[in-house]
Amino acid sequence: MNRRAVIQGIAGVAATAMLTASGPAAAAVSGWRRIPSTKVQIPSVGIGSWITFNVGSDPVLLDRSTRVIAAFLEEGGGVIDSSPMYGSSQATIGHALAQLGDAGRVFSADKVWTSAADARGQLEQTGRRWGIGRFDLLQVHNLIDWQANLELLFALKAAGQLGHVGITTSHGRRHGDLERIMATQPVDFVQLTYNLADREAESRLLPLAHEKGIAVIVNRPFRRGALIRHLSGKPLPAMAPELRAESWAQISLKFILGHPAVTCVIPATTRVDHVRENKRVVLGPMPDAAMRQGLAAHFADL
Amino acid sequence: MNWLDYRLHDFLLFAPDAYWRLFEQANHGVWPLPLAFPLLIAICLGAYWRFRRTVPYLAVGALGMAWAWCGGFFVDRWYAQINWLASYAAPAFYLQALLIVGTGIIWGRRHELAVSTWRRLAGLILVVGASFLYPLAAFTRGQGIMGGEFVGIATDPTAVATLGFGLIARGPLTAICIPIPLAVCVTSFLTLWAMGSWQAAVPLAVIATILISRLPPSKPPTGARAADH
Repeated sequence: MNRRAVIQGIAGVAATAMLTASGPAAAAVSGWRRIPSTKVQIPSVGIGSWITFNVGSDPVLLDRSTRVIAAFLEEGGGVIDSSPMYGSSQATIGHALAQLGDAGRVFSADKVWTSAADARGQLEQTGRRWGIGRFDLLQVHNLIDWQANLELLFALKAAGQLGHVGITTSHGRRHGDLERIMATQPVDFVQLTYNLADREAESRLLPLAHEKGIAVIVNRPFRRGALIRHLSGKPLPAMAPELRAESWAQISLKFILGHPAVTCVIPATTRVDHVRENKRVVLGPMPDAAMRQGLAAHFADL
Repeated sequence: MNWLDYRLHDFLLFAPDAYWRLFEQANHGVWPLPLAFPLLIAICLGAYWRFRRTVPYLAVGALGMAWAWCGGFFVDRWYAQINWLASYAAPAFYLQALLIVGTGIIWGRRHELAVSTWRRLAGLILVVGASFLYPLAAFTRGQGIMGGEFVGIATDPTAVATLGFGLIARGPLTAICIPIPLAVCVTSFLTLWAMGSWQAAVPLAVIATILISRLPPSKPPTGARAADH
């Protein structure tokens, strides 16, 4: 056993404790945030699976995905988010976890993406693909049949078969409906798109989440990579060294995580080095409101 | 749900590498079967070239098998793994196979070639390109021939070869060789375009060729007719 393995083992034990409990010790660890409704702590950088883990039965790409998830777990783990809509992504995650074991470092998040009549069957299939019996978070995907699906998820949570209930949207769609749901339903999580270019959530949804104590998962932080491609080669903001940000990816993540309402961001990637780069974003300070305005202004000027 | 909020890229469920590697896996599993359909097509073309005769039963049989195999083997078994929409498309491939074989049986040896030389030439180019050039595009992606798209395995060359056959033939075969293969080309163009692949230009060019070929022949100038009187 080498020094790296020992450190990773210690980190793993700490991570296990954090994902299953809460308390003053948890709050002291950098990069972890509390879910307001249950006080459970999770790492603020998770991982998404849209497109990147949809690799079918390709052994080469399955191995690549397993390496990505292994690196994610080595760096502390956290939210792994998927959906039945994402092709074989659920099975890819299950394949990786079967090899790696989650060691309590995974906050499993998936979605219901069907009508309420078929929801139970889909949830069973989702569990089989992941290879787990109980999810930490299940969300209603893109508000599909949301009244009946939320009712089902609340019932599962009340029965102790589910940790948290959430609802999702992306690409800035149906924010009006999402706002009404957040205002009237006791959801633990909301998932939405928020990044340097898509900032509509700032006006109403993020303040409402903060006010109502709803945890926020941010998807599409890089606009599926388009944002980073657009920013490639452009100068980093002058405050980058102060934030200990070395790349536009880290600047983008810090901009998101700097918002006080955001609990977690879930960038998707196929690369181990990008996982580690994303995870390192929590090492430096997060921008305050004024700095975030400066980042947004700098981005707008590019 | 407002569908106008969606862009083409939002419907792409997979990354380009996952898509291109499907062909490598599919070919590898049944190698050298992928070479069978181009070989059959080469025999048909050789017979036409050498004896100036068509080989209708062989041609429709090969194309029918190509569509059935492509639908059952590639679309439903491989492509559906990363694109759940594909499993809904597989029946269209079986239908196309039935249409080709059924039409071939009913009309038997009455197949005739298109009157227009231009159409025959365009059809020949599509058949040859789909059968023998399409697989070579794998090299531009850094894959070997095992990653090639072959008629009878991959959707695009199967559709393009069928459209080419439809241009060469005349009568009912032409009619049944166009709708579904054209729909495959449109879908392929949108997919490859969303993937950012240069190969999107190929189905687009094929679609344009087919649409131009379906234009009615130009009429003689009305002024010339009037001058006769």
